Amino acid sequence: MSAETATVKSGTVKGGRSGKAKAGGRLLTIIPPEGVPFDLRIASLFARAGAQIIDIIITVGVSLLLLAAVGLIGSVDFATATAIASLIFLFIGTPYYILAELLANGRTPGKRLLGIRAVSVEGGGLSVHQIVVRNLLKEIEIFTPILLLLGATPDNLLIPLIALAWLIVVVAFPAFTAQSQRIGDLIAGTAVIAAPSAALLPDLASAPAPPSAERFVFTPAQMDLYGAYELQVLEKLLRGERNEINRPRLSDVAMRIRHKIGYEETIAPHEEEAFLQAFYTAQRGYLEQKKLFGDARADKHYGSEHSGAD
Amino acid sequence: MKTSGETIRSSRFRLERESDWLRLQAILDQAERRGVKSLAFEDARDLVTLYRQAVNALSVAREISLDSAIVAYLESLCARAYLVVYAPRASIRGVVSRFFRQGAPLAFRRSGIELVLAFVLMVLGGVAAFALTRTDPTWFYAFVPEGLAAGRGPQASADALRRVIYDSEPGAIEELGAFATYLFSHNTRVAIFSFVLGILACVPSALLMLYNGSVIGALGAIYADKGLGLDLFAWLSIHGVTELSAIAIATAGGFRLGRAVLFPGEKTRKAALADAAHDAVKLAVLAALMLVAAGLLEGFARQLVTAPVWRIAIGWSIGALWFFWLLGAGRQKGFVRSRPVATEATS
Repeated sequence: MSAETATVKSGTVKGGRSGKAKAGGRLLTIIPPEGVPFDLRIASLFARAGAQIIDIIITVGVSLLLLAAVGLIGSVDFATATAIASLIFLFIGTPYYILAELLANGRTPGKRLLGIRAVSVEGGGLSVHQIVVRNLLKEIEIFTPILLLLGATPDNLLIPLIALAWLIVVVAFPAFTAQSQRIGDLIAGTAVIAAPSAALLPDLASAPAPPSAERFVFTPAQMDLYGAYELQVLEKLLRGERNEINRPRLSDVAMRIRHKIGYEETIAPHEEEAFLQAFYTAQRGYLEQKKLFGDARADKHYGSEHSGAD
Repeated sequence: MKTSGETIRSSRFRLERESDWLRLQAILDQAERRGVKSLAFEDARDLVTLYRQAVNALSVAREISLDSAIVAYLESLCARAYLVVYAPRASIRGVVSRFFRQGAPLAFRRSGIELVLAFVLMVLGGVAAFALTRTDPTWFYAFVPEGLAAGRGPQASADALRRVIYDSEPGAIEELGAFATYLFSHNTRVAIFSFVLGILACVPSALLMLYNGSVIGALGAIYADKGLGLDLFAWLSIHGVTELSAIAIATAGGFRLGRAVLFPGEKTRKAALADAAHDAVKLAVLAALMLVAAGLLEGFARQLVTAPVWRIAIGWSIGALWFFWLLGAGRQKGFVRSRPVATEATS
C-alpha cells in the first residue's frame, strides 16, 4: 500500500515534494476539466500587498483628478470635499477592480506588474460572479474601514476603533487559511497565485556526452543501490552552475557514488563530471525501465520498505 | 549495460513532443502579453489542441519520466495554458446587458419576501418615531444623530426649516450641499452595513432598517408640527423614493444571506450561502446603481426643481420607472421562479 501511494504522483518524488511545498510557499492543486491535476504556487502576501498598493495609487490618482475637476466647477469647503472624495473613491474603486479582472483574466494592473493573478479554486474559468463577489467584499473588508479610520474625529473613537480591529482581523485572515485566501476569496471561491513560469531545461540524458563517458559502464547490481530521489538530487547538482562551491561538491559526490557502488577504476579529477553524467544517464534509464514494469523505487530505502510491508 | 538519450524512453518521449511545447509556449507568451484577440488564426485554432496534448504529456511524463525538470516545465506550461484557455469569455457589454435585462430584475423578483419585509420594517420604524415625536418632541434627539439633524430640531423656527428645504438664502446652498453629501454617504454606509450584516441572521439589518425609518419619521414629525409636512414630503420624494428603495434592496440582499444562514434547507450552510450570494450580489449592485442615481437627483434635480408638486411628480415617476423595470424585464416564456439549474455553473 505504501508503495502505491508513493507512486501516485511519481513524476516528482514524495520526499522532494514536501520539501518543495515548504521552500516555494503554499500550493494550490487545481483539477482542470481535463482531469490532470497540477499545482500552482500561492502568491506571497507581500506581492499581494504590493499589487494592492499600486492599484490604490491608480484609483486614488483618478479620484484626485476628478476631485480637481469638481473643485474647478464650484468652490467647496473642506468637509464637502472629503465627502465627495470618499464618494468618488467608492464608485471608482470597485468598478475598476471588477472591470480590470474581467478584461485581463484576473489581473488588475497592479497584479500584472507583480506577476500574480486571481484564479478559481475549483477547476474551470473565473466566472463574472466570482470576480464581482471578491471585489465587492474587498470594498467592505478593506476600503470601508479605512475610510472610517480616515474620517475619525477625537470625540467619537468607538467606530474607528471597531474599524481598526476589523482591519487587523481582515489583514491577518489570509495567514490562517490553507490557500492564503482573504474573506472575499473564501466566499467567492478564488485564490491569488503567482503566475507560473518555467523554462524548458535541456535534457541531461540526451546532452552530448564527452567521449570519455563512453567507457563508464555500470552493472544492474550497481544501479540497484539508488532510487528516484537520489537520482533527482544528482540531477539538481548536475544542472547547477560550476563554481567554487559546486566543484568540490561534485567530486565529493562522485567519490561517494564510486564507493557505494563499488566501482573499481579510479577517476581522474577532470573526468568526474563525465562519470556523474554517465551514471545519471544509466541510472535514469534503469530506474525508468524498472518503473515501467511496476517496480517504482522512490529512494534508496525501497527494499527495506517492501520487506516491512510484507 | 549501455544507455543514452536515444535509448531512454522519456528522452525519446520528450524529443518527439518538444517542438509542440515550444510552439504552445510562444502562443502563450503572446496571449498573456497582448490578449487572446491578438493571436493569428492558426495559433488560436491550435491553442486548445496543443493545450490538451500538453496536459496529456504531463500525465504521461509523471508516470514514465524521472527527469524532474521536464515534469516541472510541463506543469507550469499546462497551468499557463489552462489559465488562457479557461479565461472568462464574457465581454463587458454582454455582462452589463445581461445584468440589466435579466440578472437584476430576476434577482429582485426572487427576493419578494425579503423586499416586503425590508420596506415594512422601514415604514414601521417611521410610523413609530413619528408617533413618539408627535407626543413628546424630545424623542427627536433619540432618533436623529447630531450630524444628520444639521440644526433642524424641535426648537428650530418654521422659517429656518423652510429655508433648508427651499434654499431661499444663498448661504444655505453651501450648507445644504454638505448636508446632501453627508446624507448620501450616510445612506450608502447604511446600505453597505445592512447588506453585510444580514449574514448575522438578519438581526442587525432589521434594526438598521427600523432605525433608518425612524430618522425620517422623527424629521417628519418636526416638520408636520410646523405645518410643513407636505413640503418635507416633496423634498424627500425627489431623491428619497430612489434612495430609500436602494437601501431596502440592499437590506433585502442582506436578508437573503441571513435566511441562508438561518434556514439552509437540505444544503450545508456554506453551500446555501454561496447559492444565496448569487442573488444577493445582484441586489447589492442594483442598490449601488440606484444610490448613484439618487445622488444625481439629490445633487442636481432637487436644487433646480423647487415646486413641491414637481418634486413629488419627478420623484415618484422615477420610482415607478424602477418598479416597472424590475417587475417587467426578463420575463420569458414559462415564467422562471427559481434560478435554472443549467445556468448555475456559468452565471
